[in-house]
Amino acid sequence: MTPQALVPYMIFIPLSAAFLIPPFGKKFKKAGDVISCAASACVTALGLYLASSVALSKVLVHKPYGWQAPFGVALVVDGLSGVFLIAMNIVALVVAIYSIGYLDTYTDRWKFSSLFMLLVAGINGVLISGDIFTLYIFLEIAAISGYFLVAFGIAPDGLEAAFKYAVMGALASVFVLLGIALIYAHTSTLSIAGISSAISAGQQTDVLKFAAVLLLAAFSLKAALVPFHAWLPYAYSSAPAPISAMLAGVSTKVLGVYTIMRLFFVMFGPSPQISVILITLGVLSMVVASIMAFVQVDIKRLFAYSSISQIGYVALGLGIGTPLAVFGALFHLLNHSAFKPLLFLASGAITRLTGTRNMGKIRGVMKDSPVTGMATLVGALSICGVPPFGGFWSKLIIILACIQARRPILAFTAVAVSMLTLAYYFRSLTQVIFGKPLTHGKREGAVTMSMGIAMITLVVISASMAVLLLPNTGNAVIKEAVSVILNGKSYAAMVAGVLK
Amino acid sequence: CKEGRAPVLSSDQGIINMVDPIPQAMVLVSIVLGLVLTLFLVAVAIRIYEKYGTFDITKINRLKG
Repeated sequence: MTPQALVPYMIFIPLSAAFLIPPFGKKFKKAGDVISCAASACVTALGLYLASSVALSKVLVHKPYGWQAPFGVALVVDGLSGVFLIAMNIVALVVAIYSIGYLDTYTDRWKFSSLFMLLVAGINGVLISGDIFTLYIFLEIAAISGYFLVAFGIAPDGLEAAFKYAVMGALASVFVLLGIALIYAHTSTLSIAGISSAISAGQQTDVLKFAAVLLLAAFSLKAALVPFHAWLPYAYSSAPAPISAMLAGVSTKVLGVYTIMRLFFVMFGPSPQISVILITLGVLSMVVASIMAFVQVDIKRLFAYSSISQIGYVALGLGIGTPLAVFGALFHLLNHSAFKPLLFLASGAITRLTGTRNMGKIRGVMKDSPVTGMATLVGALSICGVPPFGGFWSKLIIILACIQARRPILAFTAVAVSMLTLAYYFRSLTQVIFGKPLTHGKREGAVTMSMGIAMITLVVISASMAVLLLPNTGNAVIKEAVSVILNGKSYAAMVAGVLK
Repeated sequence: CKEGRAPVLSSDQGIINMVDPIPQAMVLVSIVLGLVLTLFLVAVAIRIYEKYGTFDITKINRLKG
């Protein structure tokens, strides 16, 4: 089986798992979890295989049933998709393992597993679609599954958060559809490669600029860049812990940042105005979210604002656009996908142990459950950028890239926000992790083995993210993705050639 | 254009005069997605009424900041 033939299985496996879970899950209590973990494991392995094939052949194009362009819809895996495929599916697998233990207090666990598989299918679909409308369809699948999952458990604040998230997300989706319609009217093709060649052949009309702005606004909302971030603190704090982890580590990255990379660097081609906008959004996110994080008492809301701030770093790196900056942005995004889910899973365990999310009432987690305490500690150190954890290297690269691009003010802002990050994490978490455990009665449950395994896995991954800087291993993987972003147009041309 | 025929690809007729099938497909997909979204919002609204006792959005405001 050539790698090309295996590409659609990235979608097919989780999708079929999503439909297999209801009949089995109703009968056997844990069947849903088993199927979802198995499917996640399969998809992770497949993602690793596809990404390594891409390292050899640059681009994998799958034409379903052999339909040629312009009739066919192609699935494309290139360097950028490969990196995301590996990272996002590993996060999904870890979260699936975590859910085995976490869902003990919920009824109807099979519904969760089924929706989770739909989310994974949607995410993988966005990553491998070679067609802008396919991208939209899978974007919607992933987003709507996300809305359902945030509301899962029907706690009052979960419902309120899901409602607000859904309304804002729907607005973003309408903008995406309008942008796609305008682009189609202008270029009369929907495949990303085709649109790319049509845009570079023709001239930049106002219609295209309008479509670009619409798309940028929509995807910035999905990525939760300030000022489009309002839904995120609600959704992240009120969702069940594994869903917060998935949203933070996967959804915002793929539905927001990956689509911006794909559409604005590969399809539209780099432009100075978009870079300025990205830098502005990035700086706003970094600064505003860090300031808001200082006044939070809810632990998950703190992590939510921290996520917004870190995505600001990524947008800043993308906006600057030099090779070093894009490398730093991508590396920081991968790091964040490892640390933030770790922090959210740990917060779920903390909530299990103490029954509250209020940091004023939580003390001494390290004594209560060393695994959880260690997880929180490693996650916090990594996000703050303490060496030797990966966060230090990625922030350093972004700051160096700012200086290299002769933007000392941006570098200074990045350093200042980094210090702010350290400050608010210190302020909030020292007493939470260390210190004497309070005597409290509301222990909702124990930190089960599956939760512990998941957290330890992420701790190991986070601690070793710096390995990606070594020349042989990850450098090849990330550099491939960076070259896709920087030489976007030539990649699109290559795909267009294969499509013919 | 006056006579646009149905967008069926057949070997004996050319692609002239065919109606563009893509906008129809896009609109259908967006209708279905809008349906799912509306159903979700309605279901959540029902549950919100059970928990909060009101539909007034200014009162459904337990999450602050």
